[in-house]
Amino acid sequence: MEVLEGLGEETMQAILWQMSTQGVSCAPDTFDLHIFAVGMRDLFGHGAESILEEIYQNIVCRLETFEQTLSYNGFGNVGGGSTDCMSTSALQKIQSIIGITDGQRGRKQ
Amino acid sequence: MIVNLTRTETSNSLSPDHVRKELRMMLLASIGTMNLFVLLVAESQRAIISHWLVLVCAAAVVAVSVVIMYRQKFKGLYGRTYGAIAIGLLLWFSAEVVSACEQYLITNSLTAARGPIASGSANFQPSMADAIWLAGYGFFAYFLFRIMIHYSKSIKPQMLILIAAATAISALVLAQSIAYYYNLYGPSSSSGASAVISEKTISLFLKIEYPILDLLLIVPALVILSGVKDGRLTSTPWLLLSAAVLILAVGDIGNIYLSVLGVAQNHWMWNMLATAGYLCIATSLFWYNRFFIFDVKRTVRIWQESNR
Repeated sequence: MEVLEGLGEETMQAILWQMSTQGVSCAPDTFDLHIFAVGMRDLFGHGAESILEEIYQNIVCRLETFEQTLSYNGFGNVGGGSTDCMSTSALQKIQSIIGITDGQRGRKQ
Repeated sequence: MIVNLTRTETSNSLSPDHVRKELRMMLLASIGTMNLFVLLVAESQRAIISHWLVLVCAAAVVAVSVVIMYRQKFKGLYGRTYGAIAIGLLLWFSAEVVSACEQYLITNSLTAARGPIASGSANFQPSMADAIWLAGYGFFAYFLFRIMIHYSKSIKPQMLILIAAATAISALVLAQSIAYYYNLYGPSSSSGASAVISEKTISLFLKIEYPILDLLLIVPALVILSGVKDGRLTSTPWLLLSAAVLILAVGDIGNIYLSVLGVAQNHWMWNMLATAGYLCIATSLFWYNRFFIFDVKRTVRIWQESNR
């Protein structure tokens, strides 16, 4: 929500309300990333890619456990390991990050 | 607090699709009514009437933008950018008023004014209105370019290069054309060579700057539109804003050519385009105010009414 809040609090509330009218829940226990991305694309079109990319950058910056596997590209944005960031969508990058996090937690357990 | 509603319970007034249809009809009706009014009055009055309509539409745009600025302040990206465009529109309206006052003081009549919609030899001198107009362009440019940077990741680089190249070529052709006709029909001075060059250079610069600045604003507007044209919330306001920038650019270009060629009779035609441009901006801002600034009380009231 930090990325949406960066647009402005009233704007964030308006976007979340529009999403809720489409059945998209932002509550932590019922949140579905894919449905959220679809809802954003419905509202913003291809512009949703920029917002999802910001969310991805926000998540990566918060995950300290990925420092060794991440590299920085020429524009100062965090990359996803050896994967070329430009060829994958923001949603796929977010899903891959969440997948890596879950896998690491499984190994630790 | 956000009230959860299903799609079937949403009132039409909160549905983007329904509001889009209503706004489209109202916008076309408004533009048609105002321009028809100008066409129906006597030809000698068209310049004055059309100029007053431009002032009224500019005032309406400022009113909507001030409401937006009041509701969301300068918080967040959209708060800062829409606050900037509000200031820019306020400056443009101020410039319209200042130019009308200057024209009234000079000729004792409120016909075509200075700046981009001016006519006659009186326009060849710079004025305070020109400075205010230029300042307004700065805020408008900040709004468009900042939003374009925000959506940059969703915009194809090929589209950006294509639009920028087309605009640069258009600006170059336009500048050359205006300079050519200005040298043929522009004012000539009988004073010393350095004064002639100085005055002619300044007046030529004033002639060229407005349409070129308009064309420069078209680049980010069209780039943003190419990225968000598929969005249910974003397609309408950016289509209207891009159309407004294009319409205002065409109006400025037409006015400049008429003033350079010394034709003062038909400036009211280009004022009609300015009216249409301002109405498109007002509609775009109205949409933003409706769907991008959450109104808790209104939403709860509509939900309560639809669920009685």
